[in-house]
Amino acid sequence: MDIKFIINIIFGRIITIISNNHLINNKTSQVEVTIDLGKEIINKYMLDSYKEEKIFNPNLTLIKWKQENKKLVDQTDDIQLKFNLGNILINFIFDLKLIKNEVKVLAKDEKKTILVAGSELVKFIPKLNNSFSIQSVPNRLPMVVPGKKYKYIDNQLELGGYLLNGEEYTDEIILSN
Amino acid sequence: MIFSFFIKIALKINFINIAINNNFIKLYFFIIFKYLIVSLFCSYLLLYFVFSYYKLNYFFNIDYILQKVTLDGIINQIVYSDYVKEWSIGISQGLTYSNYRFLDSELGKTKMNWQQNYSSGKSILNKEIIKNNKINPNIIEEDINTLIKNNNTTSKLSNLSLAYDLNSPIFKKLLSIITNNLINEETQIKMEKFLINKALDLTKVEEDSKNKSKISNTLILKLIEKETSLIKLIKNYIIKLMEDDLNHQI
Repeated sequence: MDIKFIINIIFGRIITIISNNHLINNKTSQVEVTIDLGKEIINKYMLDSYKEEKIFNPNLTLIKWKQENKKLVDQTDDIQLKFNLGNILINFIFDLKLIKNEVKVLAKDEKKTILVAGSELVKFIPKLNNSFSIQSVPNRLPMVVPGKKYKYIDNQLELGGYLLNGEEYTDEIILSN
Repeated sequence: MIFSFFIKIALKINFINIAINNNFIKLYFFIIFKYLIVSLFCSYLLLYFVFSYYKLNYFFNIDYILQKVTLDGIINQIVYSDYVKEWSIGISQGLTYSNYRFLDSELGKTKMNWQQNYSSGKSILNKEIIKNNKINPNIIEEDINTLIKNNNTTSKLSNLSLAYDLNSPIFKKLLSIITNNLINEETQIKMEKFLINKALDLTKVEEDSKNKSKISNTLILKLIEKETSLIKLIKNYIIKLMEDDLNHQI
């Protein structure tokens, strides 16, 4: 796998964590961030495989490719697998001391482990030790042109919304439970 | 009905007691008590009918129309129009979604403040808070912090300090994409690609001594510094995986 891509997703996560420094949400929760990183790796693997096939079949869409390779999609849609993959990357960041985990007590029997700025970053920006956050631009911004329309042609769903939806990633309109 | 039935029983018992004791003072208080109960019951009925009427009208959206014509509605409209105006000015100056969210939370505070003033008899629209929320693209971290400190209102963000560094490479790059290209689908795709891979773009940023003081730049420079160590770690891990795989095959 491309090392540049791994660095991209790791740095992307660090920026998001710093943007939500000391806040308790799905962008800082250790379990959710780990699963999300694993999901990114699997998605990249899927996308590369799809692009390889698209060279020979230009009319192939990502959603159609997923339907054709349902077995692979189902096998990789395992949370434990995603967690294990994400955990490797989380360990890299821990080793570099860019982030650390912190246990927050929400209630008597409720605790949550979140990721906060690590000692290497706190050394340079001491404010990060407290609840100080540097806001980064979110991935979802208002569009400058109208979004794509969701279509259903010949029993095939064509994804709408953002222009790269269905090409670089798949954000389906119906979410699994 | 059940309520009135119980009242009748209570009254009858009381009346028998009075008759037995033949105490006129008690009878006097009893009459007051009786009228008090009746008035309470009537007010309950009145409230019941008012609420049922209100609920009925809700389905025809009369509630919304009424809210619009009342003072409450008018002031809400002013706050909202000011808010939209502020946002549209902000967009032309390069206001981002993060700032918009910040402004949104500040507006929440303003509305709440006004509601508190209104309920305590002081119907004042605190326009000063809205004025203070003007977002300038040249704003620096210290300005935002003082803004938060000076606001004596309660907020979800009270324990959180925020820094919007609009001179950071992410904001600048996004702004350059919007300003240097036509508003068409190509620009939209460029923006989407940049937002997905923004961390990758950050690693291309060269060290600039002028911007060292900015917090987000310090963070980005630190990340760039760590890039080589991270590559080493990843490569070591891949070699270890390959070795394990080889040993397993043997």
